Amino acid sequence: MKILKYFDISWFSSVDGPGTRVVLYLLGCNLRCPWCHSPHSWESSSPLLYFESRCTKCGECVDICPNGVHEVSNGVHLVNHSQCNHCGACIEICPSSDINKWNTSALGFAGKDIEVSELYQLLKPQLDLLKHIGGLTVSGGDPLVQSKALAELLKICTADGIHTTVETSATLNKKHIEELLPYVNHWLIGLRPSRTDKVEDWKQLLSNIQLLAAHNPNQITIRTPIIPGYTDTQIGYDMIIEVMRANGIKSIEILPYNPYSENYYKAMGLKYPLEGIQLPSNEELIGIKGVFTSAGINAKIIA
Amino acid sequence: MTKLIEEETIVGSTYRITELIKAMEKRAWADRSSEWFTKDMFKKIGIEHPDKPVIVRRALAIDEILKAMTNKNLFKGNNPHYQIRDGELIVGVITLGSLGLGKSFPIYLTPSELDITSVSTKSEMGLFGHDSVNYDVMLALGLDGIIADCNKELSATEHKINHYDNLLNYCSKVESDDTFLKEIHQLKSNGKATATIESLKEIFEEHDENKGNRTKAYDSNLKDLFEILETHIHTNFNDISKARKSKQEKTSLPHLKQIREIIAENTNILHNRRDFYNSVKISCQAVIDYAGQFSKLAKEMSLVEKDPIRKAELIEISGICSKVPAKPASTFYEALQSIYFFHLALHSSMSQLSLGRLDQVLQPYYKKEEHEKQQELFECFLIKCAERLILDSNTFIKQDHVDFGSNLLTIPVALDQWSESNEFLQNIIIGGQTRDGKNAVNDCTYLILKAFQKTKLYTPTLNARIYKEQMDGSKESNKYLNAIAECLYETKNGMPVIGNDEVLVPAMHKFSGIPLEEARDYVIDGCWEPLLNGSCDWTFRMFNMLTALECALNGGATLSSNPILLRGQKLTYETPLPAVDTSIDFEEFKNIFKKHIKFFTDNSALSIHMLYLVDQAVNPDPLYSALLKGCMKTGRDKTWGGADYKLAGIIPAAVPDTVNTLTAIKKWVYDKKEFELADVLDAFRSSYISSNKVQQEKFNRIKLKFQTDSPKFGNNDKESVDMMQWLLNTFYDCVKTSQALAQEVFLYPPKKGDEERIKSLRALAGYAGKSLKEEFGDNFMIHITAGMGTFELFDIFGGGNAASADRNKAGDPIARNFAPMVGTTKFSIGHLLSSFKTLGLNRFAGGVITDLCLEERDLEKNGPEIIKSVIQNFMLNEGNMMTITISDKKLLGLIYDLCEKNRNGDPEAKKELKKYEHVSVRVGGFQMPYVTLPPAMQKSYIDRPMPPVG
Ligand code: SF4
Ligand code: SF4
Repeated sequence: MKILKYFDISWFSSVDGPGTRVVLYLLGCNLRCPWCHSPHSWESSSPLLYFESRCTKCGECVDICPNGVHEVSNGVHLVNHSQCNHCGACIEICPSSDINKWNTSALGFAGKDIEVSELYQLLKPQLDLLKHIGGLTVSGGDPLVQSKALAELLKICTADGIHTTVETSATLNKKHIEELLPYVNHWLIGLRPSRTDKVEDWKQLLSNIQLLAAHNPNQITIRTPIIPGYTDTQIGYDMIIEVMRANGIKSIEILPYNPYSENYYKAMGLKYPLEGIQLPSNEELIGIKGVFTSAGINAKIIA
Repeated sequence: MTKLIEEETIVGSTYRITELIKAMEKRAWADRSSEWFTKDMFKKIGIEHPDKPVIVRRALAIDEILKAMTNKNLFKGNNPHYQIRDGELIVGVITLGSLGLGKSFPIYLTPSELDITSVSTKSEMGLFGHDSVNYDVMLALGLDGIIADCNKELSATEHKINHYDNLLNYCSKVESDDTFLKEIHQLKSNGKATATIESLKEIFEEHDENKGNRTKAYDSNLKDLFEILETHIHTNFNDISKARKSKQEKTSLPHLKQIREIIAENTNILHNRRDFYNSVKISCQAVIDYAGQFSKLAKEMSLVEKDPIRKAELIEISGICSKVPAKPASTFYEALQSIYFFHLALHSSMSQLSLGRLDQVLQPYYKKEEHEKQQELFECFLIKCAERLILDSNTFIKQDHVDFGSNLLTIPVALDQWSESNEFLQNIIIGGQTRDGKNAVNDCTYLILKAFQKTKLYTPTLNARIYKEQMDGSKESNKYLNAIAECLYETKNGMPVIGNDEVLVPAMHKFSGIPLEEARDYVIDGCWEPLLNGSCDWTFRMFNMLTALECALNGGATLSSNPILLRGQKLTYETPLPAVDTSIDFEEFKNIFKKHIKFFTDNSALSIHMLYLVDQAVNPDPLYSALLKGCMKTGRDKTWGGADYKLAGIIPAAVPDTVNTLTAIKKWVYDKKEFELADVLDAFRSSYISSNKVQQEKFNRIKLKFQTDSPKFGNNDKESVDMMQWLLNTFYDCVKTSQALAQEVFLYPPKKGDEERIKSLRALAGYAGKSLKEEFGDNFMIHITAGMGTFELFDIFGGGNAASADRNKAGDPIARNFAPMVGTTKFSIGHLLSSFKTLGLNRFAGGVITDLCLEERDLEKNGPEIIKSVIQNFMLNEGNMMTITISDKKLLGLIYDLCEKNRNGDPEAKKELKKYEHVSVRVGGFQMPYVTLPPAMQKSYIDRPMPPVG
């Protein structure tokens, strides 16, 4: 069986597809959206994450690192991320870190390689529990990046009667989608026209949506994050409406941007691109929802 | 929960119910200490009637308290117990008291009996509960019917006593064995109708027909007597000396002395029967009289009532109280009032017993066309059961009525009195299957569920049984599961508790020897103990599995850090020290551990048998025995072998903690050899703290590996599940072996030739009595059931343990019930529940309960649906019992702060707190209003993180 790389699992989600679901977050993404709330999922293997608040500045990591990534002096810990070659030695020695639990550690890799059948065994108990009221949603990163291995996982799920959903920005070649198509019950497609879009991505996206809609438009829900200054434009909404109409897609979910992602940028030593951005207000969201509903689309705000 | 409080609080299905609950809560927030009876308000039964047997004195005490409860002159002419409150439809008032606060009751022990309680540590204040009444007999016969049965039995008993007196009288006049036998022989052949012959004849005839309500013991004694006599009456008298020489050398000939003994013993049994029936009569009559007083009161009130509607209600109440519980009930209303009177009498007289399968009991009285009225009546009934509530914990100390003899058992069990101050040991059970395996869900099942959902009371505890037909996906089954899920979602307070019939019925039947019909009729009582429905008498023993593990690791001693104890507190056998003897591998260590587990199961099983007889001398229970299956038939109190079944649970605590510590030791000491066992034990002993830097670093590493890199039960990983399987198999084996030992020593008469050995074993235990089967007859049996959990005692149990894999400090609480320690589960509820699948929990009829706590925000969208799925998953994974509560951490935090202010005497905070009295949490064994909990425990609920277990 193939190997999948994932960085997180959420066991009880009511906002990622129909019903109550397990959400599997896969590594790897072909885009670099500035509003991404999981920058640590971009590469196919996780960067070293350093969470300052969990570090005791003990300095154990300094000497063990063959590449001199860590520097601790006067209670300040500097991490030179670009020099790191992912050997893991610092995580192993750090008393505040556990290689298996990056989200409670000072140092860690967010990713994990796992064989598909093993991953299924890991997910199964909760999938059994949610079988009749939800299912599995695969998100990322972009799950299309690992479509071959993912198809194996979704195939097992489908055979066990588990409802599957894939959340993607659908900007990769259609062969990835075709690989998954037989095993996916529902698609959550990110559609958020923005000034940062590349033309070829957009084209790919449109043709992929056509492909999916030709299969069954009712299996598609559009998701649009509202990022002030990026995706909150009337032109953008009009484009979305047009695409939805043209393809017979009836539902859209509006997601206010997630202000809690700054943490991960910091942990990777990156600058937070949305620094200082204002959250869209409730009224604004309701207004945006109105734009869609008055166009005859089922719109929902997912908070 | 929040919404409810913000809106005008509307609870219950009618305005009347809302008002009644409001009034009840108002009383609950007041200082209720002046409502308690004091002992000087009662007659001193024990001093006035020192010559009466204890069971009769207990009956007189029941009569005394029920009289006091309707005595207008007490409490300065304003007796809070003799009142009908505005709007009430069900009447009567239970005295204050609870498991934690104790009870007030007339002293019925004699002064010398009271002196003896200094060694038994069990006095008349012993508040046991933990049995469940089946009310169908009472509703069908009425207490008059039971009294009539007593009268019948009494006259038959008197009659027999006469015969025995005659016989004894006769025997005492005859001089020698030979003359006795000769005379008997002659009397028989002459057919002379002397009184003796008459007596003999009657007893003979009864013996021949093998009829009458005799217990086995009574039978076998009679049988002996008659065999002896018959042999000689039918034997040619002249051959006797010959016979003596030949066969009788083995079986020994009758001697006058023996005959006298047998007669005396049987007379004694008959006297006890007479006392029993008399006591039942007195107690039942006391309840009837009590009801009569309320009939009178309702009538008086109706005369002055201006509101015509209320006036009519009072007249109806008066009529009902003059009818039930004396007469059979003929309507739903009468049935409820009748049950409440009896329940009230039990709970006011030290017997805090459960209400049983009320949907089954009430269904024959239910009428579809009167549904709404019946719904309201049932909610009135629930409020009456709940109204002993005391919500201001500042007043608890003043109301502490527990004394040294208030033990549940003959062995003191430390209780968390504070947490138990609103625990009344009253349960209602619904659903599941009938005695013949049919779907038991009926109209009343739904009526009861709805009543709990509407009133949101947290006592009585509601328990819903689920069996396979309720899982089959049919419309009916979904209706039932949906109703349960909705109730859980709406109340948030863990009602109902879920019992899995597919696991508990085989546990009772196949693994504990209970007949299938009885097993299918199981009920849940006390905190969550599975028992039989109105046909069993229950007791239990607990021990701490983590302590057993400490003993195994440390040669029979705890891992105490107290230097004067040297190695530690010695509790069990000295065994080789695995930290010293390196030849001991992990398998060998497991064998050592087993020995220590067996020490505790031996202790439990033996003491259950050995101390069975103590209760009859101090806590006979004629009122409960009136309805307890077996007692009326045999003429024996429940404490005197009367109940059809005797159940005793052996319940170890800290089983998940033990598994996690064992797997960590296996992994890091035995498999990876990363640490020395001695260092691990030092770390445990010293709570992972050392003044030596090198040692401290070692401790840190041990702690890190044990806590973060070891298998933890509840994550469905192979290592921890395998270890749990091993531990459960071992524990179960030990229970069975210990049971066999206890039976050999105390239950069965010793085998021929083995008398001396058994006698000396009994002497070793300090027991000089007969074997229980000799005492109570061949059918006597104590069914031992194994279970696992902590009840509310997780703090108290942990208090005696060193640190462990999941506990940082000595004395930290252990994990609650059969749920993993908070913070040790990495995944989800599905993983926890699927960890149960292969454990064979269907062997554990003592109950294995897991408490789940879901976070309110996760249920916002599909709450009932998610809860239903959790229940179905629990059933499919063969879980045993489960509670599901829903909590809102933020809200609990807010209430905690208010409580702190109230504890510091802030009156504003107290006012504010009243808004939150509905918020309750599950405390291991029962629901408690959060506002009433001890501060440390309150805090622990705020800290319960997701994933949502523990
Ligand atoms: S990252 Fe870990 S090892 Fe490095 S200084 Fe912080 S706590 Fe010490
Ligand atoms: S993972 Fe290896 S290379 Fe990277 S910082 Fe840690 S020790 Fe250095």
